Amino acid sequence: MITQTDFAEIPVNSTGVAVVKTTFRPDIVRYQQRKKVQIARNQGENSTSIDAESVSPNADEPSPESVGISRLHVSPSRNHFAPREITLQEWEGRVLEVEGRFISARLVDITANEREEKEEVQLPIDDVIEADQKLLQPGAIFRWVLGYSYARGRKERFARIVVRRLPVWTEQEMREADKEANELHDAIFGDSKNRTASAG
Amino acid sequence: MPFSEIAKIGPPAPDELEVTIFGPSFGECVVVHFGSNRWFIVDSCVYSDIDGPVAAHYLTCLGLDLGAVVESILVTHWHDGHCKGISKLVEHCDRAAIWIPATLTDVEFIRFVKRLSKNKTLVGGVKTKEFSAILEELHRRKNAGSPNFGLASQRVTMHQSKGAQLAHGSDFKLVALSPSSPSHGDGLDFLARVALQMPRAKRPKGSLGSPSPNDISVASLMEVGDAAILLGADLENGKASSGWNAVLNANRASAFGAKAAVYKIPHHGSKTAHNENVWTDTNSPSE
Repeated sequence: MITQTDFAEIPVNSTGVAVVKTTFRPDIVRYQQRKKVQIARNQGENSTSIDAESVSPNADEPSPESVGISRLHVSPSRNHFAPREITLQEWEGRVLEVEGRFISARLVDITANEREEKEEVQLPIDDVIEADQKLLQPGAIFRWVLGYSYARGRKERFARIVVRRLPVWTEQEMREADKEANELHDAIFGDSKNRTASAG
Repeated sequence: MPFSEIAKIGPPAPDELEVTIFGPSFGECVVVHFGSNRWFIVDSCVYSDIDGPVAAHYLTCLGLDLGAVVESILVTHWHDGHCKGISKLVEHCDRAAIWIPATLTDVEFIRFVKRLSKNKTLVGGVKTKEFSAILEELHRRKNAGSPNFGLASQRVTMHQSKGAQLAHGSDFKLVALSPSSPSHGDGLDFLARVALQMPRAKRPKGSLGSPSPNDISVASLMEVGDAAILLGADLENGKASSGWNAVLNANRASAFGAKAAVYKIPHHGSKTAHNENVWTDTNSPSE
């Protein structure tokens, strides 16, 4: 019995050699889907049929000769410039301050699976892609990646800084946070107008 | 000295005063023995090759029970380099009083911390985890009926013991020199910066810049008999009436105590924390 499976569609080839892929023919896919529906219906009605392959969903439609897989030709130009990259080191950075053409930032070593900032660096703004430079301000979060890329048979080092576009705070998050803050404050310190040392 | 050697040396004698300053590339922690196996700790930091806060590791290496010997923990300000591991430390030292700058108990600052903590998008997290844990610990203590914490501001005595209770026989006192006030001056300026950086709905999440908490950092003076040690925390100069200048003005009006023989310089030796008058007004001339 033939079953339909997911199929990888995008080929990656750093050498620029044309890639030949395979794919399902749409008419065969439709045939198999109709057949499955028919089989399910038969089984759901206490059918005596035990051979699913013998059930034809449509008596007028001849069974296909092939299993439905045909070659898909992808133009070499689509793959020609796709570089293969090897990341050697990656950090998440937090901008502390911007001074002239440099930023100072604290880093979390993603490559080492760290979760804490342990390094502080100064980086030239020119290493940041131009479209992202205006996003650099204290608190901005970026990824700093060092590695090699292979394109047209050449191996080149790269350093890339990309500023992350983060989602926005939601009203609900703000409401929840304020509620937690008020409750915690009142539970520990009571009336905010009457804050005094409680122990020594 | 490598940590592996500490156990061989052992704890200080009961009549010895010991001040140990830890400073990895990022962070700072001061551990003080003020006599008779009684200790206090200022801030917390971690080392990459040590599990947990360095103060806990050090005292454990000396063969001491943290829960029994640490009497006070001062969190000078809300900065990663001074808070790393502090939640673990207060967990270990359940008898110790926790001191924090009074300004950090303002409801606006707690809202700021809670709002930031809703940001889960960063690998490195936001810088609220340790401070949130301290607040939770204060809450736990309050619920348990032992609210053993204090709010530090200028001239508040955070700890004192009579000489008769200590093997060296000298009185011991730890006094806060800053921040000047939780309700005006540096405290109010800090809360204004917090308000400016408060996360708001529909604005992009981010780490946000720190609202510069150094101006409300708790510098302190430790006196043991005639000897005094000045612990500068991260206090900076700020305006003419704030930071170290506020400390100096208060000291001229009424001296805090003896001049210090030892000065733990503030803010890791940065220019912005250097104040020439601190050396002349609150420190003894070097011998």
